[in-house]
Amino acid sequence: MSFAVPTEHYLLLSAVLFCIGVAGVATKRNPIVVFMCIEIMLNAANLGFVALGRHFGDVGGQIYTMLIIAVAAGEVAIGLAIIVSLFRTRETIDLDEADLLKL
Amino acid sequence: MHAYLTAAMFTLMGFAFVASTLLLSRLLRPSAPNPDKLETYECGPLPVGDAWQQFNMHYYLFALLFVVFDVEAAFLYPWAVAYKQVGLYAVVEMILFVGLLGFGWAYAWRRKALEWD
Amino acid sequence: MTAHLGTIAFVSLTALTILPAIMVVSTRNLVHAGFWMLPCLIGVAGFYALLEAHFFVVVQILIYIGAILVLIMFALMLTRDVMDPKERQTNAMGVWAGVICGLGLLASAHMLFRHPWVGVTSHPGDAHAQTVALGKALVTRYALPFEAASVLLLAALIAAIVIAKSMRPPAASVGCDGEVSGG
Repeated sequence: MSFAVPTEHYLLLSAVLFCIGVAGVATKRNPIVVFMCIEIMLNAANLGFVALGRHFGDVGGQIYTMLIIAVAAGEVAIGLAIIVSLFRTRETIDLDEADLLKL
Repeated sequence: MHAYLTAAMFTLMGFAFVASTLLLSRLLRPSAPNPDKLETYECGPLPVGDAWQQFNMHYYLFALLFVVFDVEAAFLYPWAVAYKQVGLYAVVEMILFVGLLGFGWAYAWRRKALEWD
Repeated sequence: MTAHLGTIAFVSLTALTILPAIMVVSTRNLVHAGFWMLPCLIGVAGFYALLEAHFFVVVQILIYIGAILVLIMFALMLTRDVMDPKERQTNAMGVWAGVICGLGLLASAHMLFRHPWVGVTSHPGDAHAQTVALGKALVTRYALPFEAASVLLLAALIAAIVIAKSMRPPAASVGCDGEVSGG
């Protein structure tokens, strides 16, 4: 029972998903939407890892997907806490206005 | 793989059922649009303000703890399937893994993050 | 027959994943963006099913939809109406981002299809065998990344609690009965 979709199609799909995420991260002003786009990018990477792991019959692809999921969870926990904290202190979370660290 | 096919068929049938029911009721019911019908239902009194409320911070803290321990559970699962074939080494590693996160849990407890209010 | 079925599933899952992803990026309403994430993540879970990575179908739904998306929605609720949907939601980078993303996509597509993907495509075992292999690799060959993930999660947990616990209450918020209270 082979569902013959070639690996490169999965990889192309992963690239498209990743590019959508990059476009969102680069253009959006609300950090929570930026976070959603980062999640889309991480999902695209996961999809690529799983597809390649299947292609080469290597379990490493799945291992790295697990690790990316752990990284995504940690990143979302801290990042959203920082955003909520930024909102509490500055009454705005507009990324263009969060420029205290800029020279 | 056929299990997924069954699940997909069920999902499609569910969507089709809801869509056909809504369509049928649209065809059968009389139409009398009225702005009052679109108001938020508040047991009689008029609703004040927006439904987009500021939530209590504690919901967020619980969700945050849940995310971390959910990932831990996801790591536990393949280990639990495989540990019989690896033996003591796997057990020690998992004790280390869970123990480290246990520190985090104890910290959350001490900072009263697990308490309501 | 099965090959056709696979192609049909792939095409419909592509639509289920890509269109919501575009909606997440393009919609002006934050809550709608959050809800558009849902079909996108379900679509990726469907791709895992198609790739016969059964464990990751469950993990995707359990973690990405059940935990991470919920956390994002809570964060949306906690930063109430900071950004009006009628206001501009993007910065001045739109054109450049589009150009660079398009070029990157073209370059990666070119490299993908120039590479001869001669079929090494293995046949993964059934769900149990795959999960056993994953668990074994996790505690033997990849033991260090496994423990590093634990340390990472611990750091994230403690840092998030520190940040969340040291937050000051909002300056003024509108209570549910319309009164302005001090938080």
